[in-house]
Amino acid sequence: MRYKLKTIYLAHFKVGMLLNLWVSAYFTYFFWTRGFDKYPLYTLALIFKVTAYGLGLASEKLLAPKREFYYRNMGIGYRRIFGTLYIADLLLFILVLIISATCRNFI
Amino acid sequence: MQELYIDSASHRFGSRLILSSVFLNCKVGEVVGLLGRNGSGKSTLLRIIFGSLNPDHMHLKLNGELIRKGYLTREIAYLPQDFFIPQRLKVGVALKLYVNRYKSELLAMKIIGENLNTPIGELSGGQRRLVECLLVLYSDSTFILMDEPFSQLAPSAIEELHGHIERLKPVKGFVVTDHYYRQILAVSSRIVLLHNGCNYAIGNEEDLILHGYLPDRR
Repeated sequence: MRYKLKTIYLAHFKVGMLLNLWVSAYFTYFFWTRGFDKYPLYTLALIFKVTAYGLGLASEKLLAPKREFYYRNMGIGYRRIFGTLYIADLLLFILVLIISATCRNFI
Repeated sequence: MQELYIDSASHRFGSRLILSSVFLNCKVGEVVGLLGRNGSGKSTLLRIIFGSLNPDHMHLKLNGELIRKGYLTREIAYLPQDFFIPQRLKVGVALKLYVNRYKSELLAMKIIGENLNTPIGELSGGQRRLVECLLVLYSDSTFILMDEPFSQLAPSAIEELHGHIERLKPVKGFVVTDHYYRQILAVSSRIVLLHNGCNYAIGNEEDLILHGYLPDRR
């Protein structure tokens, strides 16, 4: 299953993953320069993350060629594909924020 | 005995009733031929079983257990009417994604072995269809749903496909639908006709004439 998901992400979701990583990197920089105690920034970051997730989902469903049966014949549905990708991305973003906040406190 | 079973399948597209309490079952070792006129609901029924279409009502069971979507069990594979593997994907990668148990058998086949590094979109239409058929047939799933597998294939490739189905019959169950009804009659252990939203068991070609699937030329 891991190989299947890895192949799917690398073959068809590179742009979506880059967009999500860019949003994460941009907001990490924002937090680093403005401080981690600006609470409205967290809401803004969440809005941008959700927008990026929505764009990824919309581009797959509306713009990409139909791949429904290609995924489903592997026993994988869209919920699994997007769920795994977005949960991993969100966890990575939170982890990066925690590490940056800790490092900034030391500096 | 492993069995795929769907009962009371009903579905409407808008106000048009496509399926009305349809029943279909398939056991391992069986090839069920599904016939019907255009728009009779053959593909709809297969898509409902596979889980890519939510019906108005159905009971779907796999080996006695109630399931909601066939594909989530990984025991059901579906060959749609159109190409389904992205054209940039190499044949070798597709093989790795779909086939584990019968990988060596597929690698021994000329059309697979010689094209492992070829993107599937670079094959001719017939070759691409045959490769997709083989990947679905030899996939790890026990039940194989095939929607018009013989269209786009040359007669020799159709014969080859018959051979593969016969070979895998002892360990898999098949539901096959196509408009080449002679091919379906040749490969199937039993025939089901979808007509007016209902299913009819078919014994011979006379029954197909009786239900209006074939023209009466007598």
